Amino acid sequence: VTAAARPPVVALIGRPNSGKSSLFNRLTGGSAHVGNFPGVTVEILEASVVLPGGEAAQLVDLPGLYTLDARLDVASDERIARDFLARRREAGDRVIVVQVVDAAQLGLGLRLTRDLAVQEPELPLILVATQADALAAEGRGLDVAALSAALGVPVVLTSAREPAARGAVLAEVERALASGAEAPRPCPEFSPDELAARVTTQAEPRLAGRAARARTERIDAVLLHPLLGPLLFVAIMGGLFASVFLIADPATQLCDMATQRLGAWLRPVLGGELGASLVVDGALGGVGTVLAFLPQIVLLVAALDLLEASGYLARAAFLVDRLFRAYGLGGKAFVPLLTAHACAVPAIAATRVLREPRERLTAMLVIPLMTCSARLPVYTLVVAAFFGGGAWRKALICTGLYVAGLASGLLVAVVLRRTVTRGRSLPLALEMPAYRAPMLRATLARCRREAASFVRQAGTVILAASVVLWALLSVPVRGDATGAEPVIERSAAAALGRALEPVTRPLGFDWRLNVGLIGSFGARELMVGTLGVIFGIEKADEEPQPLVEKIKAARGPDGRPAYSTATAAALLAFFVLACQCISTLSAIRRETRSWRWPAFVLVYTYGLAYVVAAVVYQIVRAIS
Amino acid sequence: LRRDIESRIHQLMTASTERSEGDAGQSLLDLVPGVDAVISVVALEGADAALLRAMGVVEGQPARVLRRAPFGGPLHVRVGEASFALGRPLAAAVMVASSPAGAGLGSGEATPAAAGKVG
Repeated sequence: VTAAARPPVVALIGRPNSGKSSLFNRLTGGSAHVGNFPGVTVEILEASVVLPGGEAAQLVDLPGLYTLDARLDVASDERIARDFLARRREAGDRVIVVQVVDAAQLGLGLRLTRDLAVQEPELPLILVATQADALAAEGRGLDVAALSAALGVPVVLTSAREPAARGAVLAEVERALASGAEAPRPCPEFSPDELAARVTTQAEPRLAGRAARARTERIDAVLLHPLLGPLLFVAIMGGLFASVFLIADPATQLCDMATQRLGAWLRPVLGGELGASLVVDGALGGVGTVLAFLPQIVLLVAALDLLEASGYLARAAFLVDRLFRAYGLGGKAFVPLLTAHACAVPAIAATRVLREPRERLTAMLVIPLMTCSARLPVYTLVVAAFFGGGAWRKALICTGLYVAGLASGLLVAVVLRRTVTRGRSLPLALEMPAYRAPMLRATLARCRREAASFVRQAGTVILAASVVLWALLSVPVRGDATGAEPVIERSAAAALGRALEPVTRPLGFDWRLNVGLIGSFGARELMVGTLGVIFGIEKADEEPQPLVEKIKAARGPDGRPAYSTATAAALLAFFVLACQCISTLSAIRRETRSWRWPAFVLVYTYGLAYVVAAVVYQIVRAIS
Repeated sequence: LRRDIESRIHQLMTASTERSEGDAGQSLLDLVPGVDAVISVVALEGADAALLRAMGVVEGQPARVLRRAPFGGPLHVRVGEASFALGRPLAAAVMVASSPAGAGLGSGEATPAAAGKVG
């Protein structure tokens, strides 16, 4: 495809919190996906849109930025946007920039406009002033014609909440494209604040700009109160996680049940023993286990998105900044670390908000220790099998494991900042946006995207890993010595697991748990499925019982119970610390552009996991 | 010795009082929360300066400290139309002068070169 035949690129640019993502969502109807752009390593959303005249255009949502200044770090959002624009133009694509400004903060938005005009004078520009509703509510207006005349580019005043915004913006894009070489380019000769003051009309000067600000300041007085603020912060975070799991739990059970039903139905249909086992135990089991915690991931993403869109996440960063500084991280690191509790992969990308490279690296290195949702099926299984008790006890242990993950992450950060990533910390510089009601459409679109990307991963990487694992577990590598040996005992995985027994003896793990650890090397959630295969095949002739019962009933070679509370505690400690996730390692490689740091994470987390699990095992055994 | 220390303490105290009273030497860090001021100089260089400038923390903007996080945490500052969380080292580099009467929203950064050519 030649450059001329490719659809034009319409790049959305704007300050963080300018309403850019809401407008993008309005223009695309939520149908965006992560674009695949050569040379661009970070996730940039793109979508194909049809202009009023029928031509297709590629709409791209660039990261929020304050400037195109080249002095900022290469990994910064500013540089990513700048490089993206340069590459598209080198490729010969037609590029139009749509700058989104918050009409209620016009002066700040025009600062970026002037920057664009100075740094990228050749790029055609359209200015879209959003939050027209907020502006009107403050009794203010915008003289669109005067602003357009002063800048020399078209100006659209709209609100992303209005369906009509789509047509108005796309019509302007089409007009600019049609004018080809004559497309409007901004004139850099203006003073942002003066121009903003001149074109903003104030119907009621006394109230101008005060309503929204007063509301935000009233809310801040409570949420950032010296005493109440931190308490509310803990309550909000606690409530967030509690409600996510409360809602997700039934959905997860439903997913589990559906997978089991499907397996039970498929097995007789498929007939042949090994073939049916491949599909049901290998593929379906592996993917089913993973899909079962899709509800948790989606709910966490939704909760985080709502917090971010409402403006609270910036407040949270303000509140925890001092605390995080004690660990060599800034308050901005809070957002990636919180995201990591859903999934480490987007969290690694989210570290781009950290400006100081060493601070950013530190955050990336400790993110794998946060309790991501993939650990939960393992925690649930182990807690149910060994710690029993009521829902309260289970909740208490799970909370403890969350705290353990966070605490170990912060402690490792302290150590790293004094050794491997020693260096200065940048002080906090963060805009605190006005509080806004989130747009549910945008949140839903984001959830859909994250869910799709997760399912795609489950459908490829984890499916492949499950099948390989199944082969390791179910295909005998040696002959049957006694004539009664189960297949699993003769599998390659069993041989490997047995070979590892001397190494894992101090942790109390036998060959079966070792096989589970091998199986969960690529993705920790595969632990449950692997154990299912081990215990399932082993007792295939018996009445099927839940995995929990089978693990409880497992016997060692001497006929005594194979696992004790100490084993369970050691296993939990291992899962808190080990980075059993290929996706996370590849995300770290992508962001650091080196294999050194993923290798470092792998070595230090497994080393730490081994040592701590051994200590935990010995202590718990001594006590009980 | 004791007298020596006392005189030093006195010296330091008067010095800090003078600093917070003198307009030219006062930073956002010294500014009493709730008091209006105008940014006079941003004494930073390199990427820090570029970022603050781009964010809109620049000379001529009205500024007010809304609150300080306890235990040496960041400052919550309103600058012009926006509000920011600024770490103490940054806040200490943003120098302010007491707000002239009538200064408030809309008093902007002056760029003489551009002013005549707008429109």
